Amino acid sequence: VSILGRHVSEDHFEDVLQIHGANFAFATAADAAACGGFAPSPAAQPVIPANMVKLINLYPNCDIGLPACPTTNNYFLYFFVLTGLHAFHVLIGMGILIALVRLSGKPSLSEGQFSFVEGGACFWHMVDLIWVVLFALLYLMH
Amino acid sequence: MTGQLVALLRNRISLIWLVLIAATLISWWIGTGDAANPQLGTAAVFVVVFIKVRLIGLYFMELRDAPLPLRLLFEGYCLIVCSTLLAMYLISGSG
Repeated sequence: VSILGRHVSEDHFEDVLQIHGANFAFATAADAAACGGFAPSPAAQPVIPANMVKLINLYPNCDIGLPACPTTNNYFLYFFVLTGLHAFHVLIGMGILIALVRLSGKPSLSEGQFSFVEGGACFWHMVDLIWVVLFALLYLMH
Repeated sequence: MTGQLVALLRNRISLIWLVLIAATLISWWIGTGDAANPQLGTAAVFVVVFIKVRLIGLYFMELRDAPLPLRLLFEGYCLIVCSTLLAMYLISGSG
């Protein structure tokens, strides 16, 4: 594991807890000294077990207050990329749906407009179909 | 009003929609429950998911009435993506 540019063995981490929404690892005094000895955060100090003195932010790129961000781990990297791209497609789909509502109020449609209605509906259902798969991949898998 | 509601529910696409909701609840139940065999549970979720994908494609994207090659392409896509995902998941889980 590399923490703030320093290489540390996995065994050095006794426990990983969530404090104030950020992920931290506790290390024993000796292990923390071995990897540079970071000062514990004052806010988090009361909950540090007696034999664990140093607190190291495992994910320095996560803003405090966010429980997870793309740099947390590979799962959250995929989570944010996939849901973000999907949200982009949902926005495009909603724009198309607004156009379809306007078209559906017309008494008759030209051939091009009819194709747009069919294609727009297909696009919306494709976005729907992808979410069905993404939801299972991101939330239901063990 | 009641007659319209009954007519709407008797519509095939509404029935498919109800089936999709039921499938969602089933996959949610399998996926979030404490299954005795989580790996088997996830595999079951994938199968339910691709049955849903097929229903959306056939009834909502109207591939049921599309030219046969287009429909076969979609059926093949569902089968290949589902089996590839299952194989990748099961191989990575046992390795």
